Amino acid sequence: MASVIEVEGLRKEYRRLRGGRTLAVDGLDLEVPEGGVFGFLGPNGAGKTTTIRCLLGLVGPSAGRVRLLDAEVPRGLSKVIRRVGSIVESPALFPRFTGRRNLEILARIDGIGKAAIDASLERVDLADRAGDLVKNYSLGMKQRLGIAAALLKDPAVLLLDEPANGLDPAGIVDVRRLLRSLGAEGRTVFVSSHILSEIQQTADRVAIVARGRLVASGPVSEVLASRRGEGLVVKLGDLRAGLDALTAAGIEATLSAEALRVALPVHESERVSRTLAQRDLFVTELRPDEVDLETVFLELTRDEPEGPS
Amino acid sequence: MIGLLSSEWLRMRSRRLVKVLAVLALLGIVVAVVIGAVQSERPSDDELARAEQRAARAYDRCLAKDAFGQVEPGADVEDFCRAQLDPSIFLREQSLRLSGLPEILQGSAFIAILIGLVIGASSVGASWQSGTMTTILTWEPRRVRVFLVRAAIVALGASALIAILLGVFLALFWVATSLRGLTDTPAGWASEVAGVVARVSALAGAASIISVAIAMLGRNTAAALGGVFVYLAVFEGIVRGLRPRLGRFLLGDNIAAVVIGDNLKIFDEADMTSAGPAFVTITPVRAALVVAIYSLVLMAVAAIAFRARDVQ
Repeated sequence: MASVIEVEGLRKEYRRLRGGRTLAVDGLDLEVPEGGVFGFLGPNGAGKTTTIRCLLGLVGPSAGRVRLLDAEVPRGLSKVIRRVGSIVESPALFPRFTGRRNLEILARIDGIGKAAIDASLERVDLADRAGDLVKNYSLGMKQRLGIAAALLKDPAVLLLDEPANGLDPAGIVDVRRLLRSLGAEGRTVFVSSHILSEIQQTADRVAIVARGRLVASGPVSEVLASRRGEGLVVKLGDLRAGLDALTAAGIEATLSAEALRVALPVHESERVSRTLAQRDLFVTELRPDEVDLETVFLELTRDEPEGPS
Repeated sequence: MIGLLSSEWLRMRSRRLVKVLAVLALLGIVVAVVIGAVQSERPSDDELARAEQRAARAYDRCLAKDAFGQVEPGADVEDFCRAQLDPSIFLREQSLRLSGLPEILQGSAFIAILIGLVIGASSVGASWQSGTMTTILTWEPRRVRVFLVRAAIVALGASALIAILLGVFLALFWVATSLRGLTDTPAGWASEVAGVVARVSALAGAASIISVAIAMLGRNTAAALGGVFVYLAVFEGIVRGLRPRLGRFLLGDNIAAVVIGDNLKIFDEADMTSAGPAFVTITPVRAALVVAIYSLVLMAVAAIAFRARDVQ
C-alpha cells in the first residue's frame, strides 16, 4: 500500500520573542497509507496541529522531511495541493461574506464551478443557510462550511484538524458518517481529534503522539491489542464467593469494583464458567478483558518521558 | 494565476469596507458640490463684461511691469500673466468655475491617498486577523504569487475606485457650474483634468500597495496604518525640519510633486548664497520614480518576509 503522507524525523522548534525555545515536534516519523480514515491523536500541545501545518507548508520544519502525495513539502506542494482538502484548527472563513461567497472565492482559485459548490453545501447539509453571513453561523455551521470548503476540490487527501469541534451530538454523528463515507470512497482522511471514542469508531488506523513524538501507530485493532490485558472479565451475583471458588480451583483472579478479573486466556472461558457453576454460581457476563482507545491513549501518553523543551 | 486573480477580484469587490468607503465618498462629493452650487451665484452679463475688462487691464499691466519681477529667469512672462486673464478673479461674488476644477481635484489627492491606504491595509490585515490567509494558502501555497496578486488587485481596485469617484465629481461639478457658475475653460483644460485624475488615481494605487506591504509585514491593519502615519507625519516631518534638502528623497514631497504635476521647489539649506535662499527642484517624473521605488522596495521586503515566516 502506497503512503500518501510520509514524515521523517520532523522537528519544529519555535523561538520566542523574549528568548527561549518551544519544541513542538521532536523527531516525528509517520506514514499514512492510501485510503481510509487515519486518526492522529495526542493531548493538547502534542504537536498535532504543528504537524498538519508542516504538511500544508504553512510552517517550515526546523529539521526532517515531509512528503505529501509523493511531493516534497513545501517545494513540490503546489503540484499536489489541488488534490488536498484541509481544515487547520477552526475553519478560517471570511466572516462578512455569505457561506456561498466564501466557497466561491476559494473555488475560483482552482476554477471550480457552481455545481461543485452546490454539491459541497448539500453534502454538509448547509444548502439552506448558504446565503447567510458566516458571522451569523454557529460554531458547528462554521465547522461544516469548513468541511464543505475542504471537499470542494474533490480531494484525494483530506487533512482535518479537529473537524468535530463545536458540533452538537447529531453533528458529530454526521461528521462520523461523512468521514467514513469519504474513507470508503478511497480518499485518505487524516483526522486529528481529541474525541477518542469518535476516532475508535471512525478510523482504520491511528497514530498517537505525545510531546512531539510518535508513541504508537498502526491499525486500531493492533494498537488496542498492544495494551490489551491477557484475561477475562467475569460478572456474577456474589463476587466474593466467585473469587473464592476460582482461587480454590487454582485459577488466578482478582476482585475489582464490579467484576472479577481472571488471568486466563479467552479460550479457557469454559473452564471459568464450569468451575463457578459447580459451586452453584452462575455468570451474568463473561468477556475478554479489552481496553478502549481512551485507556490506551492515556496509558501511552502518561508513560511518555518528558521531552526536551 | 488567472484563477487566483479572479478569486481576489471577487473578494475585493465583495468587501464591505470598499463599498462603505465608496458610498461615503460619493455622499461627500454630492454634499460638497451641492453646498458649492448653493453658495455660488452666476454673475450677470454686465458683471462678467466688467470683470473681463479688468482682467484684460491686469494682463496688460502684468506684461508691462515684466510680471512684477516674480518670474524666474528663463520662464515665460506671458504664461505667468495669463492667469490674470481669468475674469472670475475680479468678480465680487464667488462663483463655481469649471476652469478651477484641476486645483480642486489636486486638493482631493489627500483623501484619495487615504482611501488607498485604508483599502490596502485592511485588505491584508483582515486576512491575517480572520485567519483566511491560512485558508488561501491551503489552496495556493506559492506565497509570493498570492502576495503579488493581492497587491495588484488591491492597487487596481483602489485606482479604479478613485478614478470613478473623481469622474463622478467631475460630472456633478460640470452640472453645478452649468447651473450656477462659470463654464469657460482655458485651452488645454481637458488634458490637464485628465492628467490630474490619472495621477491622483495612480497615487491611490501606490498608497494601497505601500499599505499592503506594511500590513503584510505587521500582519495587522492598525499596525500598517499606524506605521504609515508615523513614517509620514513624524519621521519625514523631523527629517524635513532638520534637513530640508533631503525632502527630495521623502515620500511626502514626491507625492506632492506628482499631484501638482509640475516642478516642486524645496528649500536647500546646503546651498545658501549671498543672493538668497536656494532651492532643489523635484520634477514630476523624478517624483513618480521615487514613489515607485518606495512601493517596489516595500513590496520586495514584504514578499521576502511573507515567504520566509511561518503562518500560524
